[in-house]
Amino acid sequence: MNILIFLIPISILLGLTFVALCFWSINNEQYEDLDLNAEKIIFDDESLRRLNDDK
Amino acid sequence: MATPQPVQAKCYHCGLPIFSEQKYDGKVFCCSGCVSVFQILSYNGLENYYQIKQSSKNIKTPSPAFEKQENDYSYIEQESFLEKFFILEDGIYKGMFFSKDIHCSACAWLLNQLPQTVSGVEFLRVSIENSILEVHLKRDKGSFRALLSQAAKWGYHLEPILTNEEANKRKKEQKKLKLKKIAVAAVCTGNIMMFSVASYAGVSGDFQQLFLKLSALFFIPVLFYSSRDFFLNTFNSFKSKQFSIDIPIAIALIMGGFYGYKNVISGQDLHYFDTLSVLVFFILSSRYILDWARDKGQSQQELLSLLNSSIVQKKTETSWQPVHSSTLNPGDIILLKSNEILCCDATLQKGEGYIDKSILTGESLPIKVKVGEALLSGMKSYSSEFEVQVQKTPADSYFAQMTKSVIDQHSPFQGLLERYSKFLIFFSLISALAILFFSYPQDLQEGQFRALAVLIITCPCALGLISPLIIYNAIKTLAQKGIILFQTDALERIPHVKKIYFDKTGTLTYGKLSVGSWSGVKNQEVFNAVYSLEKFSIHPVATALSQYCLENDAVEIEVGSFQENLGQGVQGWVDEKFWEIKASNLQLAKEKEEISLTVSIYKNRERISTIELNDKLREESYSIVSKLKKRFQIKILSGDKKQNVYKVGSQIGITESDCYGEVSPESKAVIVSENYHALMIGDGINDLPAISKSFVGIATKGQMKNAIKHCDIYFLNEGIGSLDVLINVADDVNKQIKVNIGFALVYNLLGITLATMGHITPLFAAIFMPVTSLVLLTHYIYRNNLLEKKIRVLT
Amino acid sequence: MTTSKLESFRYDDKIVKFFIIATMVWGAVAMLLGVTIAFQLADWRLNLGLEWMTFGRMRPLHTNAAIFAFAGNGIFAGVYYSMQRLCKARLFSDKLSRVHFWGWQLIIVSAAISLLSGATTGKEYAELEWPIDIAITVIWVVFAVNFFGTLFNRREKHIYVAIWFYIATIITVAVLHIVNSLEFPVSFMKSYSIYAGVQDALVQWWYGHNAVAFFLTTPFLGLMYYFIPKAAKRPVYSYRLSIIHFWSLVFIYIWAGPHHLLYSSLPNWVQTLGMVFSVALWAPSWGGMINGLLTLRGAWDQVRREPMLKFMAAAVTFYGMATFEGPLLSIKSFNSLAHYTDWIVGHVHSGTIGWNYFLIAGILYYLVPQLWRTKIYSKELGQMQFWTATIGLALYIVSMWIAGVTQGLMWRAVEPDTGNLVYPHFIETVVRIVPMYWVRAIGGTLVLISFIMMIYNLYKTIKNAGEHEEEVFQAPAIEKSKGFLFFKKHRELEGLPLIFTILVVIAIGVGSAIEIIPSLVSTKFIQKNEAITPYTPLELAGRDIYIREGCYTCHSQMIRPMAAETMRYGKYSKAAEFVYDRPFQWGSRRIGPDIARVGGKYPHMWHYRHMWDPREVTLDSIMPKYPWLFSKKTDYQVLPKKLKVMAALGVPYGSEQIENAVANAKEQAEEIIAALEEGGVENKMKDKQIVALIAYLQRLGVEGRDIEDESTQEEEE
Repeated sequence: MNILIFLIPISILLGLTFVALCFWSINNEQYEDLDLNAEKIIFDDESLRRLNDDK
Repeated sequence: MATPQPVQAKCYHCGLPIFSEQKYDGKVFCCSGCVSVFQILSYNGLENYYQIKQSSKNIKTPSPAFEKQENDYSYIEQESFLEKFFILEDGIYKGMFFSKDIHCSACAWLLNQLPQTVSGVEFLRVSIENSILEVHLKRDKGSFRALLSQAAKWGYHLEPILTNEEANKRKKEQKKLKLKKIAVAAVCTGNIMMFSVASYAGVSGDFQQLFLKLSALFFIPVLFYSSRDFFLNTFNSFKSKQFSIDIPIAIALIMGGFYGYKNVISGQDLHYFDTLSVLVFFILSSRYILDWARDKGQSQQELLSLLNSSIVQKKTETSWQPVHSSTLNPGDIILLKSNEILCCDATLQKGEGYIDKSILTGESLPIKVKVGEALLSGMKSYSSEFEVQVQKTPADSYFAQMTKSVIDQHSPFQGLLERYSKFLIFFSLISALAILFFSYPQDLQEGQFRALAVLIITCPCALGLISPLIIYNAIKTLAQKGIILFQTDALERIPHVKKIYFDKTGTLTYGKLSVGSWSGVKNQEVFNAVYSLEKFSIHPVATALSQYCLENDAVEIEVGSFQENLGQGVQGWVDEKFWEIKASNLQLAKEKEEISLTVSIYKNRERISTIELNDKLREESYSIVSKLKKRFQIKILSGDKKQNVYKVGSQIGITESDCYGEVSPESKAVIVSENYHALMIGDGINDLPAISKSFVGIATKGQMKNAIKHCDIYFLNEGIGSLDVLINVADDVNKQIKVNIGFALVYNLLGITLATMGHITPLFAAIFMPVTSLVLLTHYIYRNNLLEKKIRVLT
Repeated sequence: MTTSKLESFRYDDKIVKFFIIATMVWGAVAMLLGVTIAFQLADWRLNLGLEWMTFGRMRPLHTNAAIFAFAGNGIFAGVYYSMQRLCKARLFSDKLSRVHFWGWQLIIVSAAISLLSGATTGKEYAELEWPIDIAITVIWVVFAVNFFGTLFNRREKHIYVAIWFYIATIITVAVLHIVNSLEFPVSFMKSYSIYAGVQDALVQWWYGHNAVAFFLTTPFLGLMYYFIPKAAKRPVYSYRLSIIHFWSLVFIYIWAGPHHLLYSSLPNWVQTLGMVFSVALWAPSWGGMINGLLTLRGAWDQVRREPMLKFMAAAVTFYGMATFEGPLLSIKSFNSLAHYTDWIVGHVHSGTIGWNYFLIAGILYYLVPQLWRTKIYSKELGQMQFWTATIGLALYIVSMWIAGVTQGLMWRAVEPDTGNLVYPHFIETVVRIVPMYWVRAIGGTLVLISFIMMIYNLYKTIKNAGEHEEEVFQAPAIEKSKGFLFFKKHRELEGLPLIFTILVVIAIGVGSAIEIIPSLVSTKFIQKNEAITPYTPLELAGRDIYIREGCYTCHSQMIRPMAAETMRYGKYSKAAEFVYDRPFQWGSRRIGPDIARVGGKYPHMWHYRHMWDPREVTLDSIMPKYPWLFSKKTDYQVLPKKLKVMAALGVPYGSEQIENAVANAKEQAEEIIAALEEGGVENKMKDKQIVALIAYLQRLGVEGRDIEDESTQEEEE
């Protein structure tokens, strides 16, 4: 089962990358004002035109 | 306003129910303000605002747009204001604005269209969570005045706020750090648990060693990064000889970690990294949730209290110039218009009339003032215009001093939680050390074995993990009922309260005059006349009378040669009859030992009726006080005259001995701080010192929005209705904590004895510990719904 | 929202249109292949005896086409459309997008040709040979550069949760593909995996599950979090939950591989580990489903009318079903029944058709009208497509459940008194479920018909769309102090640890790669057991033919330590037996019986007639005929090269063995033909591929019969 000696570091490596990504996202204030960001994708410019046409 | 229409149509712009319907372009609006905003928006092609509104949920209740348009924002252009409120960095002003009108993401979208219409806007960010607008404006190109007036046209009144950048930044960094610690704890817990599953599943040989080493490796960040706060708090509490919940957690971590690493080095597959990292992860997350819930409630109130920006007219050589109150300095002459609150300590220069000195006496009847008299900030003028000379700037006025002097001196109250857990932890430490000590000569290994079992068993899961959740839930339920908790441990103090001190004006009573009794002629003609005469004046007597006549559906009639003589009353011709409304002098009423204001109405110089006005008791005051009387001693503290206080006391069933009249703000604080377990509830600024010094201080909605930070609990709605809910929730929280502690005590004592006798292996302890937390968790959830039902019955 | 000086830009919608058309084309091809092989299982004659048409080679093409061609193009279309809208920026470079598109289509075409011509690595879902693997890596890097470039130029500071799912997909699929495709090339279209036996099994299924997971779930969750709110015009139910869902999914997922190898000769603790974590996967998956469904609450009347929303709602529900069935199947007791049966096929297709096809259909119904600025040709046709597909899928899943459970129970049925098998002959179990293969084939046809309906519907929509000019958009740039995705210009103290972790990550990666791979390849690590000897040259040639014909798609080579299996197939397989198997051929389905111990069980003549026409030896067998094995010659010249590569990968072939590999192979062929001649086979057949195949088949499981292996536990029911 010594393949694990190869697989485990790869997975831990992957885990560390995602920890780094998580740290960056927290530092970059990605989680401020979540309610607004959830709704923002609905009315970004392009769909606005679509919103008008549906009227 | 006319009586509401049967079908509650909604205003197309702000969504509020419509009373006086305005029609435009086939749509229905609630006021001319909304109509004009709608016109402006559709004119510059921004009607998408209404589509977006449909799909976004309202964070706060919207407000109609009518009174927004006419503010004049020229004050913002003054140099002195600019440096004070905005940060200037390489040619760009950076400022923060607060607006009550930002209530959904459609508003955020709309405000983001500002840069298209206002030139010079470098950067603009809207956050709807705390309705703050961050703007960076180029100094030479753009002007804040244009920005603010444009926003006002769209229905958004922006007020500049002076948030100290440092405190906000630090708070944000704190929050980020906590989140990162939780993320690290989560990752490490996940991996360590995976390795332990492998060892439970029977891994052996070199893989077992590999997993052991990896678990040890993964525990390092949990120990040194995620749990840094536990060790910090323990260190501080040792330094300040004060107990904190983190001590047992820190000890368990150190002992567990030491034991685990010792075994790992010696190759033994016996460590508790997974139990400990799960403990750290759960405690950090439950505390994060608690902080998040509390901040959500408080941040809104704190922002409100920062709004001390009021604009006054300052006299320059040529004319009156609008200037921001914070830029005034002693010696300036400013204008105090009627119905305006004085923003600084000043002396009267010109004009005479009536001023409401409730800030001192708490009694809202206006008092006559003459030139040269000293006035304090927070006083409200009832007569036409006064010219006053500034003595002290707003920052160091009487009111500001009072709030500063009241910084949090909180009684060192030992919550139930801390008292019992101190005993519990002390006991478990002693027994662990005892085991080690006795087992030292022969089998140290066995001794360590049991000592660790003891420590794991007495792990403070019940205290560290469940209690924050209980308090979190209480904060949430209270917030729904409009009660904001500024000091979370206030909840634990309430059950210990013995005496409750009520402020009279504004708390027990409505705080404004209303018609008590009306003797003499009482017909439609009188009502119309009184209403038409009193409609324009803002004197409290006038508002009380016109309100009363309106309730008897008085109709306004044209008034001839209207004349108001200050303090005496009003007179005028109403459909060819000469009417006078005069306040009879106060001495007259004194002999009857009952201070109240009586007004008489003369028709063609002949008195036809006399009206007696007083400050009516709130409906719920009687029922709440009678309910509380069974458990607490009820007392009234007021700056008002003794007789009034006795009268109100008798109305709510309190003996005169418990009513204190004509008490100054300072002496109120003294009375309250003398007897230990006292709860003070009041709404006025003069109650502030008493509230902050009392065992539990509650401020209700009133004129003191600028100092709510210094009270323990703040009622969003007026009066004392929410007191009943608060006490119920507090009792329930304390019962829950008592049960928690009781349960923790029982299972710990049991666990310690069994562990010392060696019946419990650390493994069993590790399994037993989460079981106990689960039991407590289910108990917490069960009580939670019980509380929900009880609260629903109450309100 | 942040606003400052405005920049105007256009979206690159042409590339999205390309990918949409590719999705429709390859979707039809993949489903057509699926229907063909389904009918081939129901009636073997449909293999037509043609080399490139038989099930063994068509099935891998179907799986690769469905996953990488159909779902792949669907993902790229959805990602490229949503990335530009979410970042309010044009794609990083139009050239790279075109390279990515045409490169991917080229890979698909080359895969079709190579797989049908028999060039396969023999590892499930990773069958493509090494040149194509390299091409896939290159194109994936092109996609990554294009993606992260757009992210870096974004004009919207907040990174929406969908983009996080895309980031996770790109990073993890890259690592998985590279690790699992480490193979040593022998010739242009032939290579041997550097792992062997049990190691290869674990790496393959670590890739297998995570490729399926990360390629077919994470990007689709990202698409779900973008397209369902846009289609329903309402924000996602709880944005906070979707973020927690992402981070928990990413940290748990990577450990779920082993549950494919339950009860195989994987050590017991690895199996338990895999099981525990597959059950743990249930939580984040259902978090995603609940969030998706609750986004539609209040819009259910819209769902009733709009086919687009109906597909999306059904997709999320099937995702919930498949991710509930998955952890269930990974529990050992369930797995012992369901492993190798068709129940797994039912689970796979409730995921691929139910979740992937339905979500892509929903997204296309949203995208085509948006991109071509027109209305859908006919909503009724959309509703009809939905019901046809749902009924077809229902037939598919239910028939596979029934077939799976029936076969599973029949395999393990043992008479209580005598203790021997109730159905000793494997064919009895096959005959019983052939009707289910018919039902599944009909279900598959309905799904294909529904897809063609969609193609027609979208084709007409596009045809009726009038001309439309490119839209110009305006959005403010975010102030660049944010700097590159990872590094901030003004570096606070906090930034330092972040950069430190990344450098550490790179250091460990490079370090472990250099240090581990060579030691892995060297024999030091592989448990030795002298009883097991490497394959002879002729057996190796036979094994390559076995792999080329994709025999592993129906036959497994792994006897599980269960009473019913050891009675039917012989002693259970031990890890040591597979030490020279490059790649491992344990297989994942038993349409035909397990052949791990078939060596020596039947005479050469039996195999000879069986491969010519299976009906000659087992009356109603559904196995296709392999006439070309009797006409094509064994390629002796390549054998020394093969042995040299095997020796390089750690198989103990001596140098002289390598030199006279050809002579050795011919000599062994002589022995076999001698036995066959008694049965009336001419001598000239000795150089034909059938002889090499017989050499390999007769070798299976011979040496491993009597060795002991402590790692897999004894008899266990």
